[in-house]
Amino acid sequence: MSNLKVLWIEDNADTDLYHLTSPVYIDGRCNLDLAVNASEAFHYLNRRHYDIIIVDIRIPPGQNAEWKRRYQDMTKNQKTNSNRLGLELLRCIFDEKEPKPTLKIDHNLRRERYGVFTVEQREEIISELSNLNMGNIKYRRKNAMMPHTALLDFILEIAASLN
Amino acid sequence: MTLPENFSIYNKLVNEVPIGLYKVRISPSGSHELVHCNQQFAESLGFAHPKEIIGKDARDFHQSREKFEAFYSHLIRLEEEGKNMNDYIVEILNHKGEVRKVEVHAKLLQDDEGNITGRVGAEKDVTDYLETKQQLHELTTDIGKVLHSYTSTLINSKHTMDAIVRTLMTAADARPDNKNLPDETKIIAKIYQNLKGLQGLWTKFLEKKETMEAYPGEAAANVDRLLKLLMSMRTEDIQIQQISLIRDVSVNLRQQLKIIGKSAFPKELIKDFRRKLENILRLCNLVSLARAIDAILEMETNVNNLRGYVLTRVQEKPEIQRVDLYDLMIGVVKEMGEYATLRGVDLRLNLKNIRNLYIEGYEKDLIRIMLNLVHNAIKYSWVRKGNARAYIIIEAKQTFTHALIRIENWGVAITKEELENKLIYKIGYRGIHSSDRRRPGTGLGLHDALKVVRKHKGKLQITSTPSMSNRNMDYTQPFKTEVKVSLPIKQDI
Repeated sequence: MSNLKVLWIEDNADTDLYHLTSPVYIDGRCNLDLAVNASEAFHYLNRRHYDIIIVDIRIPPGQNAEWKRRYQDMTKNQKTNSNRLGLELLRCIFDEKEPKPTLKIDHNLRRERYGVFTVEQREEIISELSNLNMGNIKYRRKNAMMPHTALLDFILEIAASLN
Repeated sequence: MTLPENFSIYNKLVNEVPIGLYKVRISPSGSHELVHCNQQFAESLGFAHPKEIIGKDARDFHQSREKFEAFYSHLIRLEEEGKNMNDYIVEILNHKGEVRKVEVHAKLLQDDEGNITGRVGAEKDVTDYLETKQQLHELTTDIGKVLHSYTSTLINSKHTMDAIVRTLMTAADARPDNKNLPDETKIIAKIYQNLKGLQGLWTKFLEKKETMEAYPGEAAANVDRLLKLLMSMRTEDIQIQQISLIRDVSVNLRQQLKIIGKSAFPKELIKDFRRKLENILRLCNLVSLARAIDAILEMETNVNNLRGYVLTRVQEKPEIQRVDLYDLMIGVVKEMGEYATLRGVDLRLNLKNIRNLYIEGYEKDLIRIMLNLVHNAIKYSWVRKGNARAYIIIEAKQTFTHALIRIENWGVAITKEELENKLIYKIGYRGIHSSDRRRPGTGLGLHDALKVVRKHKGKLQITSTPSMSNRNMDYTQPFKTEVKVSLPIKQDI
């Protein structure tokens, strides 16, 4: 397997969940980029080609004005899950109502490259994912019982499904 | 005969208003005859039309005669006190045999001599509402219990980690300002020194390679690759996430060393290599544990405050208390002391002006919001200048009528829009910049603070202004944030 280019969108990637990245680095088969908020994620997705993109559901907006606006709009509209910006990111990329093209890099527009790695249960997000035609997206739940190789395992699972 | 227009309007009102209205007459024989009711009343008892129940004894609508007597004697008692019956919950038995709960508002009717002749009333079926309220109460209590045991778990984990830190730490690893806490910067520098030491030793290994008959090629190649991965980091790049990588790589290296140890490499070199690896592992564990303790302390305050907030929702309204505000603030500062030390933040106090000041209020609520406000100030503080320590200011003064508390910190900004649109007070809202340096939170603190201050008829004012050096309103640069709480000394309750 040639080196996989992976983007992990996760606000705790360099704090609470940093243990998960070590097995990826030691394994040596992936080039891993971390985006800790929606602004960084959108920036990377418009600049670099990725084989695999792993998205967390609850992420902060970051510094980009557009993402700050989206976050504040969600809060103002009294949406209970206003920090589900990971879903908003997927909506921004894959919702039919969004102006096309949504990303500058077509390679990152393939739904099968995406995986969801989150503490939310699948049932909590499935209807929103289905609306984006992503009901079959690869999903893995974060919890205290997961092995410290959980991220690497998930990357390899998505990679295997692409072949 | 044409009915007057007013009568027609009244009739329409009586029949369309979505509550049951009725009139009962008490006959000389003692029966409580229903003489009038509207459509809503008939339906609430499971009948299709008022005609079906007019003339019946209203006592039979109650679940039992005892319950009717309790209701009726309460109504008479209120009448004697010159009051009407409001919000009284009665259990009735409807036509289908179901027990329903209705909220009754009633008044006795009397003749000129003061004899009770009947009653009029309005009622509303509140069965579903009361059930939902009860479920919510139970749910809230359960959440409170879960949060309580969660807090205990966090405290237990923290104390366990403290004990492990004590066994791993030497005096040379301690912070100069607190010998119980590991000095992260110093430890990371030591880790880097040890990594360089490993690299040096490995060079010596490789010098022996040519003279060896059975060279452990695969294990050596693995060591080479793993060491290169470690040495790609420079000391200034070693962040907490790299600590995890260094630890995992060290564990891998230890496994490779077992293979290499069986070869003809000099035993002294092997021993030295192993010693350095063990030291690296000890130091990595120390840093990780210190960080984990920091995260627990951070989360424990959040969870504890959330627990307090949830449980106040299910408690009866407490009596107003006489609160020693100075003592309260000193208690809050003491409780936040360890967290402040860990975060390297000094607490500068000026509370002498409220010594011996007692205010009327709700002590538990005030403690909870003050803990939250001080916690926030510590959490979002940056060092103001060079190597100086970060600090927050907590000061208080009093006027004739009010106590004024001011908490100031210097660091993470609250944006103008968040302040103007009052977003920061919305439940669950976390400030745009609040995740700076990965600070966790519940988005509850300021919502709760505003509620409690209002409950005390006080005022909460929050400002966030750019520091002197930050002239362009750059939100990535430091802001001075001030929280001012004004509480009346006496409550007119």
